[in-house]
Amino acid sequence: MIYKVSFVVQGGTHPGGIQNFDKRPKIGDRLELGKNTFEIIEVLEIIPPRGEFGYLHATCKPLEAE
Amino acid sequence: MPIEATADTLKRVEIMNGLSDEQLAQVAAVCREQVFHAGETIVREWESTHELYIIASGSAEVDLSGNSEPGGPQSLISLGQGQVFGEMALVDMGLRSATVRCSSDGTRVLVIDRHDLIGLCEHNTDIGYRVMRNLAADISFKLRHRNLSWR
Repeated sequence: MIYKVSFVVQGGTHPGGIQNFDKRPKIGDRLELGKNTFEIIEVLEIIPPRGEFGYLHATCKPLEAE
Repeated sequence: MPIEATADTLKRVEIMNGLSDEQLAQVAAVCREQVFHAGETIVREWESTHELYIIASGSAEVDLSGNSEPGGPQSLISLGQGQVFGEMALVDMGLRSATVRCSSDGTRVLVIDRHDLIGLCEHNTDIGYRVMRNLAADISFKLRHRNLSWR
């Protein structure tokens, strides 16, 4: 299954993005969008799966540089 | 890239979902591959070009800021392997709605000329139905993303 994920970033001005993943993302996962790293805080299935594709929406929060 | 390898790449592309191996090979036959370097512009906002682009490997960024000059203030959406851009101009033949730049060296992009894809869809209506349904779903997903981003 390929997961097509719409990411929205909570707070800030990052527009988020859409990425494909081989593994279903889950809360707590870290995600790199461009030069920034985010943590996933919510995952919703917004469209039923079709064929080999799953459709998810994830809300993320920015992580401070470590 | 050989047609078989291109067809394998297309299997992982949502707008080709539901096509048989034979149909994928027909689509692969109208694809050409282009390689881009980081920072290189693939399509430019307001241009009148009508190809569909599929990222076979690597990544690109969609610049939503309206600033077409590299290095300027930007608002970016990242696109990766298997993702498609240029679908709006493919459907409506309008001007490009955003600038898309390559963001990693050696990014391989499959390019399909609008005329070739529409010709294939009209000649083989089963391919046409599936590709157009998948394109509609892709645009719908992007609209949902945009709507959720505004909340």
